[in-house]
Amino acid sequence: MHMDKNDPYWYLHVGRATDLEGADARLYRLFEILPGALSLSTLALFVALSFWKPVIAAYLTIAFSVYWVFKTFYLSLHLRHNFKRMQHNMQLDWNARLAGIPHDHVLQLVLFPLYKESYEVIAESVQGLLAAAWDPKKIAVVIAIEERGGPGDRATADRIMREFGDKFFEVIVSVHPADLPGEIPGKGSNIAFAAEQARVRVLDPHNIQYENVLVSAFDVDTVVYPQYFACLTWHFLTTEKPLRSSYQPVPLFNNNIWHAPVLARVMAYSSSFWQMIQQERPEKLATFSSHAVPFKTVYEAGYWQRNVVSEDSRIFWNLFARYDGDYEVVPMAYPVSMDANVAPTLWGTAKNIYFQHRRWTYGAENIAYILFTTIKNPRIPRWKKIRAAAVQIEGFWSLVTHPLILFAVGWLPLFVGGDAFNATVLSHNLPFVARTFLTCAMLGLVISAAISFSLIPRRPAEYTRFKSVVMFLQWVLVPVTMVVFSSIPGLESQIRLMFGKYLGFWVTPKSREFRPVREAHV
Amino acid sequence: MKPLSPRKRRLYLIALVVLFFVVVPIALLYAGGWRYKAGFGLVQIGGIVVAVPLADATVTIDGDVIGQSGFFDRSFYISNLAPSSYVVQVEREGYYPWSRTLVVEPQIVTTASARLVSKETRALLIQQATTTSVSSTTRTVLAAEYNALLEAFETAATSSEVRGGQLVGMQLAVEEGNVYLRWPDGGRRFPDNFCARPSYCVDEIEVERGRPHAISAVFFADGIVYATRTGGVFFSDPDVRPTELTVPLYPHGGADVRVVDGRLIVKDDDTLYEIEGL
Repeated sequence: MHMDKNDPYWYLHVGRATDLEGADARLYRLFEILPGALSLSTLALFVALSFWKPVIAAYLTIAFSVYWVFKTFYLSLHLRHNFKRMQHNMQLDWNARLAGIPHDHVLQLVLFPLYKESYEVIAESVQGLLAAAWDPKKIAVVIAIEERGGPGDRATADRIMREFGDKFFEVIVSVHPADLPGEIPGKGSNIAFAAEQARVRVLDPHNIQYENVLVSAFDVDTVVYPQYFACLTWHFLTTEKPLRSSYQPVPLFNNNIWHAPVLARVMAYSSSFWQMIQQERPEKLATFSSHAVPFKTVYEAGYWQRNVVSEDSRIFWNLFARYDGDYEVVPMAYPVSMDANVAPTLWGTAKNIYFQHRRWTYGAENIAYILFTTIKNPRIPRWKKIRAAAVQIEGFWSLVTHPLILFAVGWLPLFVGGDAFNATVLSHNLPFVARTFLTCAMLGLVISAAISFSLIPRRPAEYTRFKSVVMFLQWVLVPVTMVVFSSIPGLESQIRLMFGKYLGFWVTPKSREFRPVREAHV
Repeated sequence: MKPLSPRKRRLYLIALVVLFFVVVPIALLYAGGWRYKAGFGLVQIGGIVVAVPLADATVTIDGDVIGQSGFFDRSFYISNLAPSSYVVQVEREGYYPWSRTLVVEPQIVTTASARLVSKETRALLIQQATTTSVSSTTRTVLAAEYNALLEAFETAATSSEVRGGQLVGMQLAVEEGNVYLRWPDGGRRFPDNFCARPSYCVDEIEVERGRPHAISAVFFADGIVYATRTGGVFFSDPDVRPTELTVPLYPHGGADVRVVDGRLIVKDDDTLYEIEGL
């Protein structure tokens, strides 16, 4: 990958150590090893203590269980507040709030990357734009298809063009060529190409100022709620630094929630809840999945990175580095709806969820990027560098290690601690004490269950009340899903990074064998 | 509606961090076996675990009922016990009561496995016949099997080692008319019944000593069955801790005992019996 070291931001689009040379490559490689090394050494330390110092391991497990209670309580306070805020924001008339603020100059540019998804999937998303309380003539849509997607994707895109082309300011189809140098196949390279196509084919011909364009980088299944554009524009026009901010809605995986199996539902809401919690902690918030960003800002940074898996969060760190740390995410506390991960069979769903979460947790690749760019960019304030790195390192470390310690490794002293340990009061009390605290922590799930119940769309007639009851009880699966679909894929991602077995982009399969239900009765 | 204010979040965080540092030492001390006793301050406690082999048995400690065993609940953890000695008793209708005086030491859990012996054991007379059958008082076996049972008594049963079950690794010896149970492996943890208290264990238990004179001993049903010259055949649940359970199985002195194919066989003169119900 060619990098012009005369460019003050030459490092901006580094994807992996192999993109660099010499000492820079070695340093980046070291940073890639770091998250996996931290997680593995933590788990190894726990296992070693369980064998040789089981008393210390048991005390650590108990202390950890206490920590988990307070952490879940602390996070649930954020979740509850964000839920209330989202309820409030969904009831507001954001257009009325915009009444006193000049906003006619704002153009919404929506990117829908399409790769082998059906017409029904994207049509639903485009219809969502039309149903929004925003003049569609102030919305430009790019259907971003891949050359490798073949004639099927082209036909789908053309059909969308035919059916919706005259309803918006513009609808264009961009065809991302295959095998461009310096790219990996995936959403990042596709939408980066699409954004440039929009600039050349839509913005420049109409002489539209880049700073007046808000880009919503959606997934193909992202369906907006009615006030999304008004809410987004209001935040854009009222935030302190509109061009130094990205705008993050709450991703609700609601489109197919009633049709999704229990595993998919738990994981879908767990992901949404984590984003809701982060919305109340903006200093820890990076962009995730569907998000919006001013066109001028993303244009100056060279668009989304074309050579990484986690382009959705990486774009935030690109912009953080590009604007010398003077960049933030504005949490909108307003939802967009997407598909929960569902395959035709339960096993298929489980596999898809695993792969999807492996891709998401591969966001650990950002740690190397953050450490490297903050070293290369002396203009970022030191405290911002430290905080950014610490938050990400702790986040990915705890994602992998905490569930495994709490629900697996932490109990190891009971099995391998030896006769002397097994004869102690501590050994007999460990299960009781740890379980008591974990049960207290699980009570936080009652809050989650209650909130999820408020977020789900109305029950379709084909389902009985029993399904509603299951929707509530499903939360008992959380300890299992945390280990199987968070910790383990997270650990795999970090080990891959550690050994340079880089992950490629995995497209979550999306199907439409159901009629989507998207309105949350919040 | 505004996001959660940084001030509020900081307050929550500080409050929870303070609570964490208050709760953790309490939880660790509790788990490690420390309790607050009025007038004594912090004291170290211990515990007792009693394993019960059958359902519907009542467990008491110093006369206080702890609970009743169920289909799944066969183990009782009695916690928060001050260091001292306690009499644990397990009783079930139709069985001999099992009792042990167990010493509790600080931060250690004393363990014991109750052995419930039925009061309904009986000796079935074994007879030779052309077909095998069982009635309420006799068992008829083929001649070959009968002869095999007799042959088992031609070899002395004065020492053996257990390969499986609760007594695995223990050695049984009959020496000068006394029966000893030994734990020869000093490197491994002593079985509970060899320990007068958790911190003091012995490597030998006298199962039977003095009169009557023992002639043979075998492992059977997680205990020891021994025969004496004058007293008959007995079952014992050997334990260095009082009170050892000894149950008469066959009352005639001079009878000998062997285990053949998992069955307990008594030979009295030329007559064979099988002990059932143990």
